[in-house]
Amino acid sequence: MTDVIVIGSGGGGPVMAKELAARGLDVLVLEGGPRFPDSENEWSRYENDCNSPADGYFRWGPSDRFDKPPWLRELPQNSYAFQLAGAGGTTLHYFGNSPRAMPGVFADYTGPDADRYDVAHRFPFGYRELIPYYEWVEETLPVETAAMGTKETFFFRGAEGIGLPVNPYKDILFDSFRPQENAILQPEGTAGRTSNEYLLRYPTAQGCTFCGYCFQGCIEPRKAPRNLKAKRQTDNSYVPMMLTADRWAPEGRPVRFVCDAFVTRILSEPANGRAVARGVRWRDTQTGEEHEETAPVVVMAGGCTENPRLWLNSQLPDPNGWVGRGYTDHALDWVIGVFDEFTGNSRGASSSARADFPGRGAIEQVGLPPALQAFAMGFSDSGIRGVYDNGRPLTGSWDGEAGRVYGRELKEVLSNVDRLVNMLVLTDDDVEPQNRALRSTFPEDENGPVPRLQIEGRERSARTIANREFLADRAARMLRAAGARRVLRMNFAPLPLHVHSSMRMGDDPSNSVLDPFCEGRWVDRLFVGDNSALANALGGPNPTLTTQALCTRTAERIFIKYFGGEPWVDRESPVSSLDQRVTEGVLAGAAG
Amino acid sequence: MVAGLWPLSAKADVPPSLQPLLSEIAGPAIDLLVYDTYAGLAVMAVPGPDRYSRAQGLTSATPGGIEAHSPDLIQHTLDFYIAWPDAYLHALAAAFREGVSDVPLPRELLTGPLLVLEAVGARMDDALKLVLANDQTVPASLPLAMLMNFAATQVRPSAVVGPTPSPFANLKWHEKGMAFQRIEQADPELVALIDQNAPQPLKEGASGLLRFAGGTLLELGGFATYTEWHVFDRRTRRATRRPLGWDLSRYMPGRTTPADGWPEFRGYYEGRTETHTAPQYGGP
Repeated sequence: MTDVIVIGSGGGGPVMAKELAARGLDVLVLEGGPRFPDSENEWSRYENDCNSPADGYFRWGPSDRFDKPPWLRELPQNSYAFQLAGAGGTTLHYFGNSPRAMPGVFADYTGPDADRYDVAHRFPFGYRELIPYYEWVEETLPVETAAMGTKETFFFRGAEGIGLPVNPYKDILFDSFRPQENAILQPEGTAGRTSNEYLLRYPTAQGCTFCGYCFQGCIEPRKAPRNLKAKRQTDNSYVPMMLTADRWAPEGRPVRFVCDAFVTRILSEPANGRAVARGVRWRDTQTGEEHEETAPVVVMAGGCTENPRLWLNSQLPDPNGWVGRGYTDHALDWVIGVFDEFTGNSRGASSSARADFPGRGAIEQVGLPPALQAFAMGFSDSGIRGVYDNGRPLTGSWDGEAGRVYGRELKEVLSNVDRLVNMLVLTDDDVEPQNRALRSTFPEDENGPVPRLQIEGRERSARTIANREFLADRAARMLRAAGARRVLRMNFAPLPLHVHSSMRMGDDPSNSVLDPFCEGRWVDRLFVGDNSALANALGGPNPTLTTQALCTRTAERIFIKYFGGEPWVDRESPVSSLDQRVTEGVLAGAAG
Repeated sequence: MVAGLWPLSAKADVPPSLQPLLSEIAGPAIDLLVYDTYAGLAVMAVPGPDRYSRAQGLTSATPGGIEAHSPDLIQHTLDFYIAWPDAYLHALAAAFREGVSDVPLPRELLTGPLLVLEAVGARMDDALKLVLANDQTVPASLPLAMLMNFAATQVRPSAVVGPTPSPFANLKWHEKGMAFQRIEQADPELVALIDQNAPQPLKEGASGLLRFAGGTLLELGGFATYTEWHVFDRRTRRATRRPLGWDLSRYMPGRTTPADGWPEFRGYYEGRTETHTAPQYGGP
């Protein structure tokens, strides 16, 4: 009998599954997209082959990408949702950046700057409580201090140039910069030291080879067992662990993992004026067959857009109207420095350096190959530089007005992709009810009514806007201090890439969907295990690590509350996903 | 009948007896219109030495969007990515038909007996009318091209006549920007056309639809040229030769395949290879 059903295998679902399978529970993971069992041969790293929203291997759609269109979602504004289906979910293209959240977004924070955060939507527990879970995940993935390439030297020069101090800790305590704490294995052997592909095979090369393709999915070093690939996207870390739990956990049972299985309904029944989850209905995306599966506990981990859709399509209660609301996205922005020397923009881990500004957000350096670089330069809410500005003529410490770099200027700026340095602005943005995922009035697709993702970029709170302007200014000043001869600001339109809090946890029943342990306020035995459960935007840091820590905490809660178990994070040491027993399981075919 | 379509006899430009002749070239004429529209977009993003760049008055000595086959990729991406109901796409294409109502049929298609269509004053919207009247599926690239062309005629009505059948592609570079300004800023006339012609979900969100369309088109315009698409062999999953965009951006000089790595490792900042929890939170 299935004990727990997990819906989705992105950044959070496999964490829940691995932890519960290690405790001996029978866990079923249902994933709507493809499995990617042979990533070295399934992925090419060419930019259109990977990133095309129509038929790229990383897209939001069924696995037969050349035969079937992507799944529909309505975007009623200029925006682009980087959402993808498949084992690993959006960690497939994440940069492995694993900072902890700002302490100021938690309930126990009493620092002198306490009122500078989203005080109305704090986490319903203390930062200190989450630290053991952070440490557990950091050892499991593992998270390591990023190695430097050429492009990071520019970032550090810029940060030093504006007088920022270095942060030597994992916690973000003051305005500072540092190498990223990345879920990327440090380079060993020939990795990072050669471009000779014959010398870059495992085990001669281990860890990050500086290929520059974090966004296209990590398959380096070639010939490495799946759990020893450099970037710890969950298909390289938690998924192999959940599938080999019988090998490395004394009580462990391997997870049953079904892909091309799109969950279309949460099954529930009324009980004492509430609802109780009892299972799911899912659809085989290849055959169209429908199936039902029951279990005492169900975990939703389909992401910030799909969870609200599934909740609403299942007619689950939403008495305060907050299902899908409070969607935060870090109000991303982009600042580019043009240099007269080699920057190594297209090489190395995509982001290995960051600066954090508690109460404001963060800035991180990002390296890209040319087509994504062109995409970034074409994505703006301020029109086209020199032609029109959409009423948003933002000027500041960058050159000219913000806006798309297009035509002659695009060709000129992108005449050498390795003379650019990009800064991504990660705003500490407020939870706001009008930013939301809801059901579209478009006709439903084969999986039911489709979602509408609505983000009013221009109507963000005054605090969010001020934070974003502050960070864009700092990014431009850092680039100038690093030696940029020209600095361009894009003023991105909403780009849901870091997404959070659309099914938010909280201690205020009037504006949260989940209780302080991520269980549904109105639906028992139904939990959420992904970014949508986050209470807020974390103050700006990239969300995956915090989600994974929170999922570990939630898994403990499920085990204690519904299966009579004991907690383990404070009592045991975690097993690393690099553990030889996991590797042996992978080599034996247990991970597909 | 789909909302937004109009009866075949609404305009009497083409006598019924000539409809069979028109039907021979309606599809190719619309294909040409759509291609040229996206060619106009491709060179707006990345100009080159081609005739579309010359038409916009902004050229470049080095290859650009046309040489990278960007119009084909943009069309392909739109057609597959924007998986809207066919009825919506039909209605939107019809909504912006006025943008090509004064565009002559492409001369290169009018050979032999087809020349009579020119004599009776057949226009591109006659061809569009026929295409939409048939029950065939409309790709998303068609209504979006119609939107761009309508906006182009708002900016400069005389753009209906020029080197290409596409009013948008006939605009000067700066004028193209002004056309997109109207789209992105949800010009009231564009909103009204959607409101009058489109089904309910689109009526409700006409301005959002325009902002989405404008953004998507401009984003794809730049992205397309710098990808490998035009030289990519889907069977082998490799580029058959070096992509143009790689040359334009001096990306990985000399390579046609992605590299497995680079000798880029420069050590660790301040020599630090690990960090810990801060002392005030229980760290060492």
